[in-house]
Amino acid sequence: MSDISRIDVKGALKDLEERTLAFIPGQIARLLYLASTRDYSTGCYYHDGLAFRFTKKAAEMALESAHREVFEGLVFSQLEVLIQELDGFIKSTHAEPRKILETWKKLQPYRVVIPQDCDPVASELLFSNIRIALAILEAPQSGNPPIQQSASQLQ
Amino acid sequence: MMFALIFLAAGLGLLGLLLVLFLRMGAQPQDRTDAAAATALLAADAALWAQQLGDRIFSPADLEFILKEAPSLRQKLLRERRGIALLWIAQRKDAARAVMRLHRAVARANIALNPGFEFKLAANYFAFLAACALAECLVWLRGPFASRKVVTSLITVGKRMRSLSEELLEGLDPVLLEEIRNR
Repeated sequence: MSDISRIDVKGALKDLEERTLAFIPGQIARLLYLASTRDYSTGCYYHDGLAFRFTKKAAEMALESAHREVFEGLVFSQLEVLIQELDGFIKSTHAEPRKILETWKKLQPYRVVIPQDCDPVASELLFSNIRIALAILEAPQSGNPPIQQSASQLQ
Repeated sequence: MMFALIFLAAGLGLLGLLLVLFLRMGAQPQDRTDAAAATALLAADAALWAQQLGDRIFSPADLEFILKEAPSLRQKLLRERRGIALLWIAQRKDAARAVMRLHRAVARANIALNPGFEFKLAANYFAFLAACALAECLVWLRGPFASRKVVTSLITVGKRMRSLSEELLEGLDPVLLEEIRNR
């Protein structure tokens, strides 16, 4: 990569963080957003605004880099923090929490939001932690109390 | 007559071994994948990543949290984390094997071998595999959170092996190394 394109990518990444990601609350919502900018068939990232301000390639690399960073942040988060993130995300959707939890358990949408070339063990660790977080968050919804303190109280 | 049969069997066995070795020399794509994996392993950030991931997987913080907040999910966490821990150990073993395969490919093309160095690398490799086997047993028997100390020693042996491999590759002509990787 030439110096100019490296500066472009840095600029695009800063722009993405300041103008877009800063307004998305929580790491899970950011992960979902960044994954949604990726084409499911080709694995390429697209963002018209960024591509317009910088270059198409710089925009793609900035999105990829931000996606990887958010993913790694969640992989290395403790379970307690991940539950808080998931709880915050569910609340931010304003949908019925029970429905979201059921959908996440059944369809496992978190499986398609990981970066393409990520470490397979890291992705399995994240999936496993999300499964446990869902089980914990599901308990108060179903009336069973395996968790003594709700995740939102931990914040 | 008996001796003739024994010699014939030994001769056929040796021929078979030669054939196997010859066929293995033709396994180009596997070698190329291994070389890529070994190169990736030798990158400093890859080693750091593996260590951080290991620390995260075997960290008792999640178990402590579950025991405090949702004790009924203890078994689920142990089951899930055991699977991940075994995956991580298997990944470390694969990476070490890839380094040794690259080392073998380098050794085949390198006349100036240092026997002391070779012995040190082989000893580290077998110590690493033994540490992996021990870690796997402990993860199965005592769970991932109780096997943290073995994992620390596994990381230490892995680091030693990595530095030895780096030493080996540093002394090589980059053109020759590239040639070996592309074979």
